[in-house]
Order: sequence, then structure tokens, then C-alpha cells
Amino acid sequence: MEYEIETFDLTKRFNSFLAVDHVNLSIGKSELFGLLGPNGAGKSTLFRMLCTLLRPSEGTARVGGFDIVKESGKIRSIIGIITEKVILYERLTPVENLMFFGRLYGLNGGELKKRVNELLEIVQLTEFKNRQVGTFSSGMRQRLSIMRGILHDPEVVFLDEPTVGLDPQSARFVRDLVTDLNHRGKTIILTTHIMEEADQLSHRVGIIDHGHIIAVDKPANLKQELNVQTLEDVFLKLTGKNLRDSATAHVPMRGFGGRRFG
Amino acid sequence: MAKSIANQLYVALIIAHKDLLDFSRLRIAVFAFILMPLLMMTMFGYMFPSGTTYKHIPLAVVEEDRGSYADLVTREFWQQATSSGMFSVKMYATVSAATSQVIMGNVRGIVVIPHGFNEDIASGVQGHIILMVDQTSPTIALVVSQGVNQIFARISDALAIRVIENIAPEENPLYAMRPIAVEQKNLVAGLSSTSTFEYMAPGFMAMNVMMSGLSGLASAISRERETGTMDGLMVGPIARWSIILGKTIAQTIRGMLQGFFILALSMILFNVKVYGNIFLMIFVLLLGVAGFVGIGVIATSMAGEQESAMMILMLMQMPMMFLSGVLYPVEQLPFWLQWISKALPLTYTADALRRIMILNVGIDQIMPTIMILIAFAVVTISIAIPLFEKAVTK
Repeated sequence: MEYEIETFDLTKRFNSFLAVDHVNLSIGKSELFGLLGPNGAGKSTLFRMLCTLLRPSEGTARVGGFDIVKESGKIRSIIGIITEKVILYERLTPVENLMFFGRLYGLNGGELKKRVNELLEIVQLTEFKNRQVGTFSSGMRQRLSIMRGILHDPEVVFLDEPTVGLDPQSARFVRDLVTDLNHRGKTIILTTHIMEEADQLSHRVGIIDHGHIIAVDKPANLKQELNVQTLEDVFLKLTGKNLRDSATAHVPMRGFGGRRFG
Repeated sequence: MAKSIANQLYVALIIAHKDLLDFSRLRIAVFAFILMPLLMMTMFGYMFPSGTTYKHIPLAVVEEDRGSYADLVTREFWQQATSSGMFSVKMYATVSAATSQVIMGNVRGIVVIPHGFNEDIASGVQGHIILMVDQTSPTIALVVSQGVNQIFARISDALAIRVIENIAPEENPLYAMRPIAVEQKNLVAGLSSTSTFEYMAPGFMAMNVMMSGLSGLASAISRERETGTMDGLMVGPIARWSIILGKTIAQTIRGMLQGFFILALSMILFNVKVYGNIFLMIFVLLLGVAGFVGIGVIATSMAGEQESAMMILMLMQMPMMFLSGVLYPVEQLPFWLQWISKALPLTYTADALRRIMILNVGIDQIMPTIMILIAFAVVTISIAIPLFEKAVTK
């Protein structure tokens, strides 16, 4: 099988706190991979390293055949990210936002305009195209944010909790978009806390806890193996039922390490 | 390579355009942006006016001696002090009555024509006037003392001329009294006396461009980090330096607009004239900005979030404002503070700008200053870019 993403002992330390601990993971081309884990398990740290937003402390990974440290520039032109915090400028309109990001990726002129209009049509935001994004509901923002993430037609799409805080209609719409992207051949890494969503969408899921990948398989296989009904049961059985409030306390709060990823 | 640099420059322009568009949507900020120079100009323009335009400083005169010379001198003083508009003079019968007015804060100084003044003058001895000033305000005390001294010097001269005319009618009394006179000439044709404001306007311009650049850059970067949009830029196929450059271009355009708004206002309101080359001024301002960009990025990278970055910058802006010779000459500072002022890029920018504006100097005459600014920019930016990279990818 040809892999789109491979990690080799990928490790990230924040001072003495080991956020991701020698992770080895392979994700196939056109796979929709669900990355699950409790808060502070290392999910977002892993995610950010693969997106080249965070430098690994040890080990490395390849995305689309490129090394995340040595060839980060090449990776950046083939990936798109969609995060829970929408990456949009609130005081700009949808058109201005998409045009701006499109130009960053070297798209231009009529071609870019056409693409922007198409994308706005897909997410049903054409009639709001000249309103400032700040006036949008969270569902509208997330739909637009996804279009921003795939504007340049990336090979690999990273989605970090794309349905958090959305109403059922918007969440469904977003899930359908994700499925559709995958059907069009995109490799998708999806992190989510909604187990049903992961179960429904992912070909395979990986469960990460305390910086280690503790299980990788098809949701059905995991359920069968552990003899439980739902992916949530799998998750709780593997990661325990204890609350995970204390994990972030290990991360330095100030200076260059001031941003917390968990 | 060249193509990729051109491409990254283009990206920087796109980012600059986006930042300016984003800013233009903030109506209140745009309003403040225009109001700020206006406020600053009028405030400082009238606070540090050219020459001594102190008006109507209340002054007490106590005429203890009632002789004819004393009367003449008092009347002359009254006339000159009030006609210039500098003082408003009130007569008091006794020194103690006048003193109590000073204590109550109603009067800033007391001029006493003491007993025996008339007799001294009449018998050819030097007569003494006594001056007491309110020492609660050194500035006012100085102005009162200088003003009163000047008036009495003139009265003295007038008396002396009369005496000389009596002794040697064939002489020009003025030559006898002052064999030497100082004549002041201008370095630049057409330049009349420089007002305090002509001194301050270039400094204000430099300060505004650099500081708005500094804090604008810091807040623009930290805001994007906090809202998450920085991630969108960072995962794009764009160089880190083009993000910084783009933001710098946007902030510089904003700062320049404000700077030239300040210049226009000072030309209209305070009759400031530009004798030098405007393009050279822009060039020096740009160099100044380059020196500040590094500092802004370093502060932002170290601080992490917007609030801390702003605090660090405030900490840097305060000394810069007062130690860079923007408001008053660096020579006025104690020796060790002068050394600090030499380490601040604003000192050089303000000084160069002033010399271009007032003395019409050319680029070769300010070359040392330019070299210092370039060195400053190179050093700070080469520290800033890796720090920024580290801060956003850690």
C-alpha cells in the first residue's frame, strides 16, 4: 500500500513534558483517518507537527513523500488545514478572505474568481458573499473555513474538530463535505471528540493517549475485538474513565512555549 | 531563486493589502488614526510654542521709593511689561502684602523698587531692583526672571543713553555703550528663525511613523496568533520573512500617512517650512522603520500574546519618546542618559530628518546616520526572524 503519511518515532517534548512519544503511524493515500484521544493526549501536537506548524523534538515524518522538517515548504503547498478556531479574517467578506488565501497559493485572476464563486456556491454562502465574516453564525464560518482550507485543491486535508459547537444541520453539512472530499481522492486526517462522527466517517481510527498510539484499526474491528457496541465504548475501555484535567499543567505557560497544545 | 524571491515579495504585498483592508473596516480605529496626529500637533504645538509666548503672568510691583526716578522706572516697567502681554502687573503697597499673594498662588513674582533707589540713581550709584519669584515652578520662575531682567536692561539702557548724551553730546551713545554687536545670519537662504515647532515636527514625524509601526506590527502579529489566522499563513507555501515584510509594509504605510499628516498640519497650523528634499525624508523614515521592525518582532515573539507584547513595547516606547531628542535636545540630558539616547534609532532618525527639513542637507552629509540606521536594522532583523520562526513553530 502506498502511504500518504508516515511517521518515524515522531516525538515532541515541551520542557520535561512528553506530549508525543515515539509515534509510528502510516496513513494510506485517499484514506480518511480519524485521530482520537482525550484532552491533553497529544492529538493536537501530533496534528500540528504533521502540518509543519510545530517542529518535532525527535524523529520525523513524511507527508506526501516530503520530510516535515527538511521539506516543510513542499508539504505546505499540498496540504490544507481546517481547525476548530476558524482561519478567517472577521472584518473581511467571504470573497475577500478566499481571494486573499487563494493568492497566497499562487492562484490569480479569473481562475481564482471562478473557483471562489464555485466554492461559495457549494457551501451556500453566495448570497452572503459581500458581508463581513464577523456577522456570520458559527456554522456559516465553519463552512467557509473548510472552503478556505481546500481552495488550492490540496492532496491532504487536516481537519481539527470541524464540527465543534455546530447545530445538527451544520454538523451534517460539514460531515457530508468531508465525505465528499474523501470521495474525490483527498487523504483526510480528522481529529474529533465525537465518537459517532469518527465511527461514521473514518476508514480507520488511531487512538492516542499519553503521547502513545494505543490502537489503530477499522472502527468495526476495534468494536469486535473489545466486544463492545460503540466506538465510544472502545475509546473509554482503552483510555479509562478518569477525567483528564491536569495534563496541561505540565506545559510551560509562558515564553516561547506559551502556547498549549493538547 | 530570483523568481521565488519575486513571488515572496508579491505575497508580502498581498498580506499588506489584506492588513490595510482589514484595518480600514475598523471605523473607530480609523477615526482615532486621523485624530491622533491632530491632537498631538495641537497639544504640543501650543504647549511648546515658539519663542516665549507666556501670556499674562501675574506679577506684583511694590514701589517703596517714591522719588522721581523710582516713579519713572516703575511707570516704564509697567508700560513695557503689560504692552508685551507677557505680564499682568498689579501694584501692592507692601512686600508682605505681595508675598502673601505669591503664597496664595495669585502672583508669580514680586518686583520691588526699594527705599533709597531714587537717591542712588540721582547720585550716580547703581540702583538695585529686587526680584522675588515663585519657585514652585522652575519654568515659570525662569521666564519671569528673564522677562523682568530684559525689561530692566532696556530701561537701564534708556537711562544710560540720557546720561551719555549729557556727558558727550557728539558721540553716538549706542556705540559708546555697546562697542560690539552680534549679528545673526541664516545657514539656509529664506530660513528665518527656527521655532520650537520646527524643531519638534520632524521628531514627531519620526516618532509617529516608528512607534505606530512598532506597536501596530506587534499587535497585528499577536492578534493573528491569538485568533488562529496565523496558522493559516504559516501552513501556506510562503516564507516567514514575507509575512513579516507584508505586515511591515502595511504598518509603514499607516505610519507614513500619519507622519505626513503631521507634517501637513504643522505646515498649516504652525507655519513650519520644509527646506529639504521630501524623498530623502521618506528614505530616512523608511530606514527608521526598518530599525524598529526588528524590535517589534522580537517583542512579539518573546511575549507570546498581545497583552504582554504591548506591555513590553510600552516599556520601550517611554524612554524612546523622552530620550531621543524629539521633545527637547539630547544635550539637555545628563551625560549617562545621552549615552542611552545614542543607542536608540529614533535619535538618529529624528536628527537626520530635522537636518534635511531645516538645513536642506544632502544624502552624503547624513551618511554616518544612515549607516547607523542600516546597521541597527540588520542586527535587529537578523535576531528577529529566527525568533519569530521559533515562536510560531514551537
